Amino acid sequence: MNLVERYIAAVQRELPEKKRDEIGRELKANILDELDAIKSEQSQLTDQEIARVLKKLGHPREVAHQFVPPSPFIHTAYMGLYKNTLGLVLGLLFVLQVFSSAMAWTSHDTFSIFRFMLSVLQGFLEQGYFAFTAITITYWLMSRQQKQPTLACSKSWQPTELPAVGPAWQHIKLHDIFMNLASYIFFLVVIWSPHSMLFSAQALAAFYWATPVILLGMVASVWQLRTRLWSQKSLFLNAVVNVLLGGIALYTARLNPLLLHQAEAASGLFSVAQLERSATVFLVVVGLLMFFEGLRDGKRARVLT
Amino acid sequence: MTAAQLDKIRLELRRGVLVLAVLSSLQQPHYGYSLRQQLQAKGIDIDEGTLYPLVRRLADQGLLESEWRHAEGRERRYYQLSAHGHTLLAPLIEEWQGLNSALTDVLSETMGQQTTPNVS
Repeated sequence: MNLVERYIAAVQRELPEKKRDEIGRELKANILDELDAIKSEQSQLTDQEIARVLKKLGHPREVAHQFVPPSPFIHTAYMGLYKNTLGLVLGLLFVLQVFSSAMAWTSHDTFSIFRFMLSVLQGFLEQGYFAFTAITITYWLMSRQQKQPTLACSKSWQPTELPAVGPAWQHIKLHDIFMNLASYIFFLVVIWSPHSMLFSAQALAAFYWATPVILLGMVASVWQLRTRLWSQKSLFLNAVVNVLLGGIALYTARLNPLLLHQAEAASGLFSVAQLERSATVFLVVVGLLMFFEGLRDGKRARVLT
Repeated sequence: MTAAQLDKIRLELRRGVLVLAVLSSLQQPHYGYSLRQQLQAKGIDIDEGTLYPLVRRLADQGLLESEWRHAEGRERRYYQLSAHGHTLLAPLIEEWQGLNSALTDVLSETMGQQTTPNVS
């Protein structure tokens, strides 16, 4: 009988505490019934017989999982959103850390690529741990609050309300929404962070004009999480946001000076002229990309008419 | 098809049917082992590791009620269909009979096609 006790204890170890006693008691009663039946056919019950019965019942962990199936830490309905949130936040933290480490790196008299990589890794891990934990706990709490998360899938949906079959691009991928959100947050951080003090007053003034446009873009992206389908209005709004941001980027690119002369103090590796040229090229590329996306969205909006 | 695939499909096929068999059998009170014996006597062989947790899950859902009884120096937990379980059993049986009848037709056609000799 020692084997039975050991088996029950092994099952109980895998169970939640509040269910251990009851399930253990019931399982023991069932096993003893099985053993009684064998005993009535044979004169004595050997340990081998008991072991065979327990083996047939299944591994203690398997049996415990049958009694109390493990529930996922994060509900499957939230998994897509959870992964994208993690991707957005961790990706953003990484890019910002590279940006911040690069600023520190260029201002050193002696620079080493190893120290730069170490600084990126160290900074990213410090913030990444916190972000990962905070996001995971948030989604865990959301998963625990509702047993059947509905997200945007309302039970009162009607097939007749489904949108007409449109071109493939009309469906907005979750990944694209999060990429847009990440880009907007990145620009906001760059504009409003202490590093922005490297930009000239004219450049900063132009960047501040971009802030309401970026916020408008963020609101539109959050709204897209709900609809996940381009409409003529949302495409038009997106086109306006992209064209405005592209215009601001190109306008800022032609400013001279783009960077403060004090930036020279922070330029151990590159000259101010080189930094100016790099910033100009970056802004021109961003501006052209925004214009391209704006024109594309405008054309798509016309297709949907 | 591999043996693992066959096992998986068999398991899925049996899962719903076993619930119906257990609910139907528990119109009379049974403890775990006696329920298994009854199902086995009627040709439904089910592992202890599957049956006992299944009965408990059905009880957790309110379809069964249970009580501990002591006899011959032993204790046993007896399960019986609850009022809620009774309400659900009739439509479930009806559903099963409808499915079974339709499936018999579908399968007899398939079996007929398989046994027809190929003359081409």
